[in-house]
Amino acid sequence: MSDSLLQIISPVAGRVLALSDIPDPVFSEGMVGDGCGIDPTGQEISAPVSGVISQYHRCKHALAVRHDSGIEVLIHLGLDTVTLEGKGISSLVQQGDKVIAGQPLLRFDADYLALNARSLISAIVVTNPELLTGISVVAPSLVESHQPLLQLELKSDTVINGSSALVSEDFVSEDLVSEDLVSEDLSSAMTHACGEVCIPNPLGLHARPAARLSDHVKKLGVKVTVYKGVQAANAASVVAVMGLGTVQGDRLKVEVTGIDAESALESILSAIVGGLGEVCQPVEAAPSVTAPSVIALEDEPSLLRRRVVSENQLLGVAASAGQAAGVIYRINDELPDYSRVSDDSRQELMRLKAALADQAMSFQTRIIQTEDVDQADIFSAHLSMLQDPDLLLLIEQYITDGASCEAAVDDAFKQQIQQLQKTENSLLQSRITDLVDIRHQLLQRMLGVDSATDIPDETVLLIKDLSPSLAASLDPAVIRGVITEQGGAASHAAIVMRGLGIPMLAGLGTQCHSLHNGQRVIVDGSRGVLDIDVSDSQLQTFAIMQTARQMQADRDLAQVHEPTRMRQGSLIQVAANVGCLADARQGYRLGAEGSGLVRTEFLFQSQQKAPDENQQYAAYMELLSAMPGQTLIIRTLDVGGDKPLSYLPLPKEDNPFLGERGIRVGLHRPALLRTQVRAILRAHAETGRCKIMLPMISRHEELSLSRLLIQEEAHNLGVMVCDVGVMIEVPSAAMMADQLASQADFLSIGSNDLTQYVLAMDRGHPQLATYADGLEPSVLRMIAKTTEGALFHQRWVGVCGGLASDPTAVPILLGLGVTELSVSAPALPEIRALVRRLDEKQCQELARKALDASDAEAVRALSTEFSGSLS
Amino acid sequence: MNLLNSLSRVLSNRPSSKIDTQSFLTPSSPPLEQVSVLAGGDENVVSMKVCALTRLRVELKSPVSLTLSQLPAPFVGLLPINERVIYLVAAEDISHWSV
Repeated sequence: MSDSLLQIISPVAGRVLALSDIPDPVFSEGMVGDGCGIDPTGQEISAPVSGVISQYHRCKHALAVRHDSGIEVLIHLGLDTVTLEGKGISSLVQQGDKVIAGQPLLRFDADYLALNARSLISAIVVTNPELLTGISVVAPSLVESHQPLLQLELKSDTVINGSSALVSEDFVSEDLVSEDLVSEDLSSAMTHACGEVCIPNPLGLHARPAARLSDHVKKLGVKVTVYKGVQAANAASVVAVMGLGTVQGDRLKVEVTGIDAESALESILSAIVGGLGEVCQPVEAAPSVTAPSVIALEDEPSLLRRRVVSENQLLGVAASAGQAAGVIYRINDELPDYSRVSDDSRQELMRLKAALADQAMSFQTRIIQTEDVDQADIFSAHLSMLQDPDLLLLIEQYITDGASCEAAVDDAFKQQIQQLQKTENSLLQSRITDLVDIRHQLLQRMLGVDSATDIPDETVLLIKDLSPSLAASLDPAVIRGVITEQGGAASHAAIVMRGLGIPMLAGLGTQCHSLHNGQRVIVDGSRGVLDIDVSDSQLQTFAIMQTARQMQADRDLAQVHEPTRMRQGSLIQVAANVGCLADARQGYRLGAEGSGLVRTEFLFQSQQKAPDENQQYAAYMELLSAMPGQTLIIRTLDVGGDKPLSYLPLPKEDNPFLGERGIRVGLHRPALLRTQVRAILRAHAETGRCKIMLPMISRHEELSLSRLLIQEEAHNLGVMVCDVGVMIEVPSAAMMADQLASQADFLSIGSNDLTQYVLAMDRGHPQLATYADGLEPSVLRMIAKTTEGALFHQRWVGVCGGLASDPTAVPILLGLGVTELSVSAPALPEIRALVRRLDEKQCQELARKALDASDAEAVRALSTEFSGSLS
Repeated sequence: MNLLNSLSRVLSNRPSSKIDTQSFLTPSSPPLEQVSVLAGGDENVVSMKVCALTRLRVELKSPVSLTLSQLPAPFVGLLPINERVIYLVAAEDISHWSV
């Protein structure tokens, strides 16, 4: 009978077990089907055979692939993993997807599963063994992923007739009923019965109860169809029953056809009510109609969003500073449909080669043409990713296996992305966006799509999410501004936009859906506000204000080298934030009085290993040379959370912003901190122009331990200790400012993090970022507490976060007692000119009112009114 | 060990899934000392934990290099989670081990 073989490859590496050795009778007793088990030593499940994903359980732990022959292979990851409800498992495909043997289907966190599930032993089972004449395990006891695992001998009619003949598409398979049951001889004895039952199983009919049901039905020798709403499944098929996606409380209709259907129905209903082998409590049936209150909740817009400044304004994340007026133009970046298979792999490989060459040329051109170092770095990285030999090999493999060029690129990139997702390295994970971007560009190229053509002049581009490549291709002469539905200020695209000087507003979310082509808008990328449907008079006012802003900027620039004194003569130091050598040079040119924040991460990022003491010393000396005669406040390495390093493995944390970051990283790895401190102390010994600043101090002990380390290294080097300051970035530091000031030489407020931690709002969160405003009175009270504590010990307080560069905030900060502002270099002329116009007493009065205000909007209104009164 | 032998005699007459029976019939003496040595000694082992029936989770202070051939029986597989956490996969149920 058997005349054809089908090989099943191993979906995962691991130890192979006989089916009967799987410690779960549902599998070991063959209730689900025939196959084997694997105790995995990998964390990815790939397709054991080419076909279609015929079922994918909602809890992600079980899926089935149906081969063209009709053979269905179920992979059940682990035992009792249904209880995890999908946690620790990432789906890479969906039900209905066509897959190629070896294609990744899901990825799982083996650590999480091992700690939370009964076992990782997984079943690989043919659920319709009636289509086989034989099945044998052909793998060694330890199998590698993609190695041959099972050999199936197919019945000849299986091969000839294919799936349509033997397994129906809707899982109600007529042929699964014994031929005897429908024979002429017995037709007179056939009866029909129908009933309903409520599912008591806490996790619905997952593999175990589905297998019990199937077993029960087969023993009764009747045809049983179960219905959940309009979905139907043959109860003899474990996979089909699982595919119903039932949950506790679902009501099932059960139809039985066969000899003595009534008693069979009674037996089946009783088995289901009894829990099918699981201990269950009786439950009430779920209402047949979805509760309308849920729909109402989903449809009602967020109340928070109603806190928009006015009806014609939308709020987003300020991603690239500046203001622009223009007309909305929406780009649709979606790809057209394409064929996923090809029978001419040679042709597909040629197409691939051509597309890769064109894409590489495009990246090279951008690298050469751009004058922006950040952009060049981004596209150099993109070129390297595009030419990754593993990636190219994978694409070619998919094509050789019969995939089209587009499908091969899509799948291979997806696999690479999944590999990045599985790493615990946040830095690597953050490169996923870049891979997605490169994949998209390649597919666009292959499909002949160019999304950024024919953009009209004076456009404010509206797009779901802006990729770095598209961002870099935008012409500032044409594109006035950009608004995006997704993304934030920290994206690569935002960096590119800042380099191009195009205002950008990100993360507007569903607000974008109300925007349309041709709508006149004003983008304020500094405040994160979009004015919509602007009138002619608004545009005229905007043009006048832009002219005034430009004239004021020119005047400010002419005065950059004048001292920064308030009207009563108090000297305020306005310094530059420095993140690289170019920042230091620009800051010096624009009149910075030193740097109030040198972000040393630039020395550590994009490196294979941490820079040694001499490398760091040389870098600090170079910065000092770029700002002759001026003092640099050098912050020790501030990584963790959002700023990890590839060579510095940080533990996986549920909440990295509340985990190991800032000074905690240095104190846990003293060698790292000591090296940096020594380099700074040596630079200070030579120039006398360095101070050390410690990031994210939250407890007094962190400061005292750091100071001790600095003193030890100064002693070891035989040099003097330089000033040591503390960043005030968390509420605990602000509350303890008086005690911290007793040991620190200065305090510097990191207003971005302080705002985030005081308000418990992620500054990159698309829905919350607009509310994470440093002018919230709660944040200002923390700043007041800091200056009060510092004053007690005669220490000065600076601000080096975004607030220092915000003209609305500056009068309030000075009124609260801040005497140093470290700002982004381009803001230096404006902020210095503003300080010269301020009256100390008036600022103090404004600060008092701000502390008593109800929210940031009220504070901004107070400050705007105050600024209007300035001469 | 005596208790396990007694249990195995009792259980050998009881219908049970194969792996459960095997684990009691052929109890392994946990080679924890050997694992500890391979993991860089006690001072480098933060914790050991048996989980998921067949797995020994070893958390390390600093990374070590391990190969399959070094593993003592009943371990037959190795799954590194990251530099500091590795799983040794046994060819039998080790859930009864006391670690």
